[in-house]
Amino acid sequence: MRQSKRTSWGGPREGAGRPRAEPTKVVRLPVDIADAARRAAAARGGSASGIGAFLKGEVRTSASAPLVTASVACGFPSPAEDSLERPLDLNELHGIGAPSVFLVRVAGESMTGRGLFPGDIAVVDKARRPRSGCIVVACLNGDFTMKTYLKRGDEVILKAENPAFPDITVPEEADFQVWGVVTGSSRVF
Amino acid sequence: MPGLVALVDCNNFYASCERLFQPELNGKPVVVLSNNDGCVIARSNESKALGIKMGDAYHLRKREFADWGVQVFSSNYTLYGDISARVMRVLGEFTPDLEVYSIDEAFLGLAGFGDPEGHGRRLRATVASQTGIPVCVGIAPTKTLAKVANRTAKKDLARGGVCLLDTEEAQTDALSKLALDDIWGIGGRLAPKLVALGITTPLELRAADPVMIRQRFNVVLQRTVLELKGIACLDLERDSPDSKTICSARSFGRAVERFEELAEALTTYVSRSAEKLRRQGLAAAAISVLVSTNRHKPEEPQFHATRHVRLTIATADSARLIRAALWGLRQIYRPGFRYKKTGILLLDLVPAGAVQGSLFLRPDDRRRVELMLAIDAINRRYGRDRVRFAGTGLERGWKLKAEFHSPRYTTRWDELLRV
Repeated sequence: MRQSKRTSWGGPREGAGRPRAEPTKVVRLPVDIADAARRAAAARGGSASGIGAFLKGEVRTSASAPLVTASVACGFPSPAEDSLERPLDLNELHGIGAPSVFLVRVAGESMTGRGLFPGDIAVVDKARRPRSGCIVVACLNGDFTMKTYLKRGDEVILKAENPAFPDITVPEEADFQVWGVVTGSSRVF
Repeated sequence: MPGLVALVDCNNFYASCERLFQPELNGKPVVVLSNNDGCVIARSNESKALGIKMGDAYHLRKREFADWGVQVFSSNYTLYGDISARVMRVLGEFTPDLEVYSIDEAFLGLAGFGDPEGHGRRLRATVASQTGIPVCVGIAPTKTLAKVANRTAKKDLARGGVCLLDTEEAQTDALSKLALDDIWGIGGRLAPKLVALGITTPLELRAADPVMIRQRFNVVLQRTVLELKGIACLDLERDSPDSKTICSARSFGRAVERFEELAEALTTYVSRSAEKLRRQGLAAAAISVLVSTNRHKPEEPQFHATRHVRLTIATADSARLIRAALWGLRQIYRPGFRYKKTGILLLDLVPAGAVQGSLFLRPDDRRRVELMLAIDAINRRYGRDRVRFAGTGLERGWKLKAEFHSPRYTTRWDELLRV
């Protein structure tokens, strides 16, 4: 801090400068962090120069919302109080977390006709029994394949949903097993 | 009426986990190697039929294994742990009376269930359809006999994986087919002592006088005798008690001579143990540090040492624990030896919240506690060791060998099964 010269004029004036709020301190931040802080503060509705909004944010990896809250310290109780619900959870939609549900990655293009593209994540339920018409992950002679499962009498047909791929009629003597039933898929663009 | 106890044990668990995602392994001999690809720790039935034994050293039998077409895997505990948790969740849906005994075994209380054998079959079928892991179920009035029943279910294929030993005749028949050291708790050291007393078979052990056994041996063996007689002495332990010690010790991929490399490895192990410590909400007040050379190479100079380090106050702070461990290592390290192993043991564990401060000693600073929690949270979310102490090293040339590691199919986005 520079010391002000002792003169009869100049010096601090009453009421000048930034209005006093909480005590502050000057810090040095690397430019890119300061910029990031500014952007974050602006995004949170704070002024872009005051990065307080950024620094006050709590870092969390997950948060849970209460189903019901009882007490409100002051002010009006939220009218939504009785209607609070859990946020939507894709795991719940897909049943992920159940012991029988596994995720696999779609590798081939044989199922594009039913919306399963290479790189997609398919949700597979091992416990579900296959019904004719559902998509399965099957094991044929030691190899995995994802196809539509069709049952015609005693015959099992693994149907590709892409004209470029042939259907497979499972030979009776083959080592064949349905590993699980595909119950959903997920894709990140 | 005393309830029956079921022991559910996964068949060749590690090999079954590997097969779950590689069906081409069905019908082929599979072995899983210990950490560092040292010796065989799990075998499929085909491998057992080839005469491969638990503990066989891989480097001695490499050629044979290759000739036989044995499929060799490094242990993939990430995968086994996840599949184990799935199996246990399925079992937990059957009864709240569940004791997870090990990664692949659980005891279930069956009190109040009619038709125990049918129940066992349902258990078996449900675990198989939900997780794809084959299990055997042994049911008996005591835990020790449930172990016997499980063994019988595994050996006697005609039983379809379930064995109920609810009558004395059935128990006698099953015990007559076992050796003394097949009985739960009768280890290699105890068996010869029993033989010296004229007790050479499980049936003779069952007939022994429990009071005499207690006097000659201890109360633990007395309980085994009583349990063989069908008198339940061991309850299900529902909540696993907090650890009394936490241990992390590993062999190196190669011999290590330099202090710096030992220190890197030790720092890694301390970090790992400290994470476990915090997960259980505990703090440690002492550390034991060990180093040892390769005892399987008697031609090299041998050196083994441990050093106990007392901390002034219990802590769960990785940095404090690492400092203490390295201090201990410095005390025992001697140059000129080819070290094969180092490790630590965290001792005197107390709940972290109950650590008593004093005039000069303070429990962990709140900010440090939060820092540790943040590190743990990041590593849980983004994968092990994402944030770690620089002292754990960058190259890690000492790290374990794991040449035959299968993908972590269920816990990593980039290692999912591709279909």
